Amino acid sequence: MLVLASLVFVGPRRLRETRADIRGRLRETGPVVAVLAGVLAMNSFIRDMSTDLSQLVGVRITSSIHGIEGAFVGQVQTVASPLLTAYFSNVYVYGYAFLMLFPLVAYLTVDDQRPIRELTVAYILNYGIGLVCYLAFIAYGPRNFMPDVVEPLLYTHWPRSQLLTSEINRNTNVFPSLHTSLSVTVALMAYRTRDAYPYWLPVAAFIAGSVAVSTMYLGIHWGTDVVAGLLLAAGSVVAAVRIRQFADRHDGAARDRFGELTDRLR
Amino acid sequence: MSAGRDGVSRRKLLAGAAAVTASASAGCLDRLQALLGWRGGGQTTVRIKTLPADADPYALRLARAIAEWLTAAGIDARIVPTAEDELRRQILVNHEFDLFVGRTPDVPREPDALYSLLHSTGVLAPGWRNPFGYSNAQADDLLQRQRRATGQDRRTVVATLQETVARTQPFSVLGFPETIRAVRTDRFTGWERADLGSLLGYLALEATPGAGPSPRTLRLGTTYQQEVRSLNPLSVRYRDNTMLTDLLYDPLGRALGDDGVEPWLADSWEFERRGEDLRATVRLRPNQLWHDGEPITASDVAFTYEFVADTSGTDEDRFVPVPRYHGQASLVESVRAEDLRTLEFAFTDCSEAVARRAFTVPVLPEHVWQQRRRPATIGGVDVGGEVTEALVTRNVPAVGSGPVAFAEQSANGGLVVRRFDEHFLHRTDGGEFPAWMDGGLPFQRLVMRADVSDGIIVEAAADGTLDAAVSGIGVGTVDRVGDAEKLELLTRPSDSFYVLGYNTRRPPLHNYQFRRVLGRLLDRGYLAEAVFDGYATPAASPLAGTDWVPSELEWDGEHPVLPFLGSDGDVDEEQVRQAWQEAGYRYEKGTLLGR
Repeated sequence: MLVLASLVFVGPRRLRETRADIRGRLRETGPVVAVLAGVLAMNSFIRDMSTDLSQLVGVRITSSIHGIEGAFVGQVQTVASPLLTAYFSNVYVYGYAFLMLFPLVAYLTVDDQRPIRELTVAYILNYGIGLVCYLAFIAYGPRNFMPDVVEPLLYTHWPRSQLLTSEINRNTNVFPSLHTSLSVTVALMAYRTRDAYPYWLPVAAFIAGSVAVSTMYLGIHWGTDVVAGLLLAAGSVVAAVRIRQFADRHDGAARDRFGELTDRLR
Repeated sequence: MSAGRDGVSRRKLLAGAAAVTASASAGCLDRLQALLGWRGGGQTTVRIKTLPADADPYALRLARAIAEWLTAAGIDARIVPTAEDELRRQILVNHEFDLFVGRTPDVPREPDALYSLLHSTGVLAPGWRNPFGYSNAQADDLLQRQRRATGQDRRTVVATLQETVARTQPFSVLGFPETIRAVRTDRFTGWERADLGSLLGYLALEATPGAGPSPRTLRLGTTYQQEVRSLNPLSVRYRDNTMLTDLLYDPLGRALGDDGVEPWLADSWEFERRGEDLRATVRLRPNQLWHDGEPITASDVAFTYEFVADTSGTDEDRFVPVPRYHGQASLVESVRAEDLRTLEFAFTDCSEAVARRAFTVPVLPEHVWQQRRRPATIGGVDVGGEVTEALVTRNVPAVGSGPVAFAEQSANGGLVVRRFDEHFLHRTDGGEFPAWMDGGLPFQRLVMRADVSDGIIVEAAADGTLDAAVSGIGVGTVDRVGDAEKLELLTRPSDSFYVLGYNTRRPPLHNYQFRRVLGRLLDRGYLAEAVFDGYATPAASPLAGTDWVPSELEWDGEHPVLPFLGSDGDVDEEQVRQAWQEAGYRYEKGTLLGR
């Protein structure tokens, strides 16, 4: 899927150019991508550790969330049909993975390396803030809190996916929905880069919307988590752009100073 | 200068705020609320703690139904789903709860099992020793008396005890669930003969030609992660039902049929009564070995009983018994090894029938457990240094004397044990056993796989990678067993029941009148149908299903002592108002006032 999408949205010409200049681009983007890789590598480790810590310091908010929205997720599930379940299950697992990875490839291939740096910073912010929230709030998803109203559709439809998701995540990490926030982050970035990739925007927006709905449809997240995810995404993108701009200025100043120094030495 | 001071004080303030937040969320607020028993508007508030739906198929659904009934009766009831380890700490160790929904330990339903569950001496103890904090002089007295009474006397005492418990409601029985299992019969048969939660279920199995030549492997699946993670028969668990430890460790006696406890690791025993004193001489089977090749001696047995009574040993200041076997240990006054095979037991004031129960403690090798007397350094159980290594060790690899021995723990959440050929069941000179356990275990290896959900395990059993799903599966997965061609559904009534536990240390739950009204807000018949889908029996007594239940406590379509304040799962407001009033509580405009 990734290869196909690369050919359709990016086109063979840009891919070839990228291959020629891959070193230069990686040098420019490398540091921030390395930080992201580090965050991801530490993520699982921290999550393991933080569950225990979270039990000590975390605030239990499951019933508060339930107080806010009641059986909303149960209502979402009233439209359930085998076809929809199959669609949302695949979107939740594969669609989401694709949405995360494809822009990294796509943005690496454009000459302007600002989008990929912004995107990577936004990913880092999403994960970082998400992790702090998981530490601070203990909440179980609707499938775990009201099993009489909400079916764990992902797992009844496709039991083995629980093996996969339980490896990555704990069942107390639901507020906010990182699936939603990361997907929406990608969609917002797609909006910012609509000039370079005009066809990517509607596709990204559609998948991101589907992922957000799927988290509720499958009984994994509360509506509240999804709203929090939206806010987190918007905040992360705005902050990422600011940080990138700041870094550029800082970078420019550093380069100027370096130039002065070499001038003087000469 | 002043800026510097400001900085310091702000830091202090922040640190202070962090500490307050941390401790507040760690249960302080919870406790404050409970102490006051009411909040803001004066409404009575309770929190119901239980496992999330992932970890238990019924607990959260029970809690939801209960919360709804309590809300209808004017109480602000909220559910707090909590992970298993944390629940164990909060409910069984620190007693930080109002109400909890859980399952009692899986021990045979007999009157003396109530001793450690309800006797007031267990109020401060960790584990399933009176987690309710129940202290009732009459109940204590009856619990003592049923130990020494015999015949019709004992029946009367046990009947009165059950009535007292039903009237004062330290907990409410929600129902006895049936354990639902999925098995396939192409490799092994005889699954239905005995309980698969204990060793006996596996002794009753027979291999078919389809199981292949030796080495034959039995492949089982469970959803209970603790089963493969820890092999410690003494540890404090929230759910007290591990089957592997029962296969790895042999007790002196086992209940093989309906005749009570019979000699198992013991060859024979003889009771002798001198006045008040009850003594027994126990002979061990000859030439028995531990899994590591060391011989089993009478001093191992004597050590075991002394150890479960106090794992800390000679240290005068500390006293750390094993909560799980407290009932059994409290029957024994002393155990002395006479020679390598002979033991002299002295019992506390009890009858022979009750004393036999003391023989069901798993016998431990002294050379392994002697080193586990030191205080536990990392707190799986948090009671400020009052825990020994023995209670928290994972005990892997386990060295026991049972018919299987530890082989390996695989990385992907599995555990392998092998048939122990030196065991008396597997030797020709082992002696006489009932025909159904002839030949001992019909396999050379047993692989236990733990997975996150019953759906995965049932799927694995359906496609033939597992022979059985042995931990109970939820009613939601039953359909899938029916759909799978090769799978058979096996149900068996469980000895462990679902309970709504009350923390009787806290107001307003300290008042039995209050608990009685709560007990009447439970439509147990509705729960059996709506939550358990018929795979459970509603009951009024923890001994339901045995012949110990007096006719006044028999379930007759309704709780005989505490009938539901409504019908068909719906609470009737007028009945509720009246019940609160009679109990001495103020119920106004649909709210129960705390003061």
